[in-house]
Amino acid sequence: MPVLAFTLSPESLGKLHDALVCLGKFSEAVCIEAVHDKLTLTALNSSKSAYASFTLIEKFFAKYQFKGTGANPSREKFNCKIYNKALLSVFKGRATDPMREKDTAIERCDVTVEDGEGTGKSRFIIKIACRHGVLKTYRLTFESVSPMHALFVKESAGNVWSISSRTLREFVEHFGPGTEQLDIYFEDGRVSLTSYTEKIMSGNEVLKQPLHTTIAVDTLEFGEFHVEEKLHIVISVKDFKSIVSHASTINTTVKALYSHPSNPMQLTYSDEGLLSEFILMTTGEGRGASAAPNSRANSKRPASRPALEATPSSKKPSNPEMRPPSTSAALSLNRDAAPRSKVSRPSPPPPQPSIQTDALFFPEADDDRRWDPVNSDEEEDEMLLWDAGGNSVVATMNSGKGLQSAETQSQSINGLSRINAQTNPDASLPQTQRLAPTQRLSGIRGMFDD
Amino acid sequence: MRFKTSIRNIQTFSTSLSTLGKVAWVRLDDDSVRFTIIPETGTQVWASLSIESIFEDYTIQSAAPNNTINLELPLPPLHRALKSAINATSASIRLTKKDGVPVLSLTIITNTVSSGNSAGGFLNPANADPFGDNVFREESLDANMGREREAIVTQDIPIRVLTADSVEGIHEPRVREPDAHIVLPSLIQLKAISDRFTKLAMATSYGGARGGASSTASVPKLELAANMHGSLKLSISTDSLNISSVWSGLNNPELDPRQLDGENPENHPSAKLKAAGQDAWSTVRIDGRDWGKVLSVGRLGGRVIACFADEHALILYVYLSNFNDGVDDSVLTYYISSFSV
Repeated sequence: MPVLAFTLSPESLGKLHDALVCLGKFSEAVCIEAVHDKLTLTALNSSKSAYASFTLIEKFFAKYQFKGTGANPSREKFNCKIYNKALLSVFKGRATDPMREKDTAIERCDVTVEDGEGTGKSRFIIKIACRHGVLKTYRLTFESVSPMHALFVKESAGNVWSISSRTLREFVEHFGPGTEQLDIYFEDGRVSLTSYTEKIMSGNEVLKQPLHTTIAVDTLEFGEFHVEEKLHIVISVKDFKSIVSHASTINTTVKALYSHPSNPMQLTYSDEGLLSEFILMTTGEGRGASAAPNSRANSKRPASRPALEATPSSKKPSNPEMRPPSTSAALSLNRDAAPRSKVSRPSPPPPQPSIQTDALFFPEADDDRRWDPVNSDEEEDEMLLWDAGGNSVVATMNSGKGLQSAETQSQSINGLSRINAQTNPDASLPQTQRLAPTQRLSGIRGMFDD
Repeated sequence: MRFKTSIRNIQTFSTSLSTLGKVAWVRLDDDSVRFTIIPETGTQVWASLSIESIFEDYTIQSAAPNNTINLELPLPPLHRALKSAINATSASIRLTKKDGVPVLSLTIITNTVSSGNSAGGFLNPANADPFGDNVFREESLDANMGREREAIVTQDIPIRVLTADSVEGIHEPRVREPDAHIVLPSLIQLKAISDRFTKLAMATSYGGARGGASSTASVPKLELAANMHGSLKLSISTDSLNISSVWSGLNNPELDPRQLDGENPENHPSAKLKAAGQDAWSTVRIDGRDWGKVLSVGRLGGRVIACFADEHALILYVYLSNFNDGVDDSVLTYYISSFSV
C-alpha cells in the first residue's frame, strides 16, 4: 500500500532533474516531504549556511496522490531522505531531450513510495516507461528523517529587489572562478555586485589571488527595487551561482528579500507548478561609501562560517542516552545560527528602527550562559527542544509563530536564529528534552573561515 | 608609474598564450609590448608585439629608461577577465593599486543583452494586465524600453611589479644556427594530424592506458623533420606502430644576408643541408601534447617559419602580419628543445 504515488510527464521529469542538480550543489542528500497537495524537496548545506527548497504543487504532476497511513491524510506528512546521486542517476538528463535519443525517449514516470515502517519494505519505487515498451524500475531505499526547514521572516526584510533570471545570469558569467564572497551594494542609483576573496597573500602567492570582479548596473535592470543605500550585504558567491544557474534555465524573475548583514537572505522564483526558495546566510556591514568590500579592515574581521560539526568530541550532552537520533543536526542548526550575530558588525546608523542592532551582539562575558537550561524560563523561545508528540505546548523550534513573536519581543539571539530548524511532529523522537549546549560560543568560527 | 590603454585584438592573443603557461613576464615600454613565458618544462615563448597591434590610446610612464614597466602577470585570470570583454563596447586597462596590492584593472563597458526586456519592462507583473491601471503609462514604459542599459564590469587581475634588476638576467635562449628553415603548412591541419598521431601512439604503446602517463617521459615523441627542398615530415613510432606524414612543395625562405653578420651564406648550415639533397633531413623530437599547445597559436593567423637545429631545438617564428599591414614588427618566438632518442 503506497503512501505516496505520483506520475510525471517527460517535461516535468526534466524539471525535476534540474531541481535535483541544483539541490546537489548544496547537499549530497535531498529531503523529501509529501503532504496531500504538494511535494517539497529540500537540502541544507553542511555548514548550515544555505538552504534550498523546491516545492512541487499538484499541477506539476500528471497525477499526484498522497494516501497517508492514518485516518486524516490531509493533515499528515511523509518524510524521507535520499542520497541525491541515486535520484540523479535515475532521472538522468536524457528525459529533457526526446529528440536526441528517440529510441529511448521517456514517455512517463511513475513514482510510488511504500512505507512499511520497520518491516524493511520501505522503498522509493520509480518506474520509467520508455518508448517501445521498455519499462525501467528502480527501487531506492530511503532514510526516514524529518527535514529541516530554514525559517525566514518576511516581515523584517525591508530590502527587496527582483530581476530577470537571464539578466542575472549575464552578471554571474563575469565572475571568475575561485572567489568566495559576493557583495551587493547600492548607491546613487547604481547597484554593484562584487565577487571577491578575502585571503591575504604575499610574495608569489599574490598572483594566485582570484579575480576581483565588480559589475555596476543601473537599478533599471531590476523590476522591483527597494534597497537601503550604502548597505553591504555579503553572501557566498558559490551558492549564488548555483541558484542563478538553475534560475536561468527558466525565464523567470528572481526576487530577493533581506534585512541586514548576519540575517538571512531569501531568494525566490517560480515556474509552472514549481516554487523555488533559497535562504542564505549573509555577512557584511553597512559601511560608508569609501570602504571597498575587500578593504583591509574587512579582511580582518572574524570570518563567519558556522562551524557546526567542528568538534563532536567536545560535545557534552546532558544525558547521553537522550541524544536525538538522526535529527541532531536540528540542534546544531540553531546552535550555529545564534553565534553568527556575534560576528556581525555594527551598522553605523541603525538602518531600520525595527531592528535593534545592539541585540545582535552577545554580552562578551557570559554569552555561553544563554544556553544554560537553568535560565530557560526567561528565554524559552530560544531553547532547543525536541518536539516528540507534536502535542507539546512549549514553544519549540517547530512553531514558526513562536519564533516570530520571539523575535519581536526579544531580539537577543534570533537575529540569527532565523535560519532555524523545524522538526516534524511525527518524527520518532524521545520525549521533549532540553539539550545543553555542545559548543562554546567562543569556539564558533565564521562563515568563510577556510 | 603609469600605464593605461584601451585594448583591442587581445582576446585571441591571450587565448594562445594561456595554454602554454600560468605566468608571463610582461615588459611594456614606449615602443613595444613583450610577453615572455618560461615554464619549468616545455616551450618558451618570447613574443614582441607592436603597441598598435593590441592597444589603443596607450599611455606609459615610469622612472626607467624608455618608460619601461616590468610586470609578472598570471595568465588564467587575464584570460578569464578578457572574456568579459567579448561583447563590450569599450575595454580599457590600467595599472593601479587596490588596498595596497598592485593590480591590472580592466574596465569593460558592455550592454546587457536583455535591454528593454528585463523585469522593468513588460515582464513586470504590474504591467502585465492590459486592463489594469498601468495600461496607459506608456511614457514610462517607452523610457525603459528604448534605453540601452550599460553594465560596467571591473576585473582586477593581481600582478607583481618587477624591478629592472630582477629581469636583467633573463635572456632569450641561445641556439646555434639552424640547419633547415621552412614555412609551415596550415597549422590547423598540422595540429589535427599531430594530435591524431600522439593519441594513436599513446593508445597503442600502453595498451590503451589513456591520460595516465602524465610525465612527458612516458609519452611517445613526435619526430618532426625538414629538408631544404620544401618537405616537412611528421612521424611517430612505437613498438606496434610506425606512421608518418610528409608535406612537400613548401617554401624554404631565403636567408636575410643582413642577419648573417657578414658570413658567407654558402657556409651557413642550411646551405650545406640544401647541397646534401632531398634526402638530407634535419630532425627534432618533441612532446606531442606540448606541440599541440604550441600550435594553438594558429588561431592568430600568422605566417609561421620553423627553424630546425638538428637533434637540438626547434624554433618557430610567428609573424602576425595581419595585425599590422605587412610590417613584421609583431613576432612570437617559440623555443622548443628536442628530446634525445
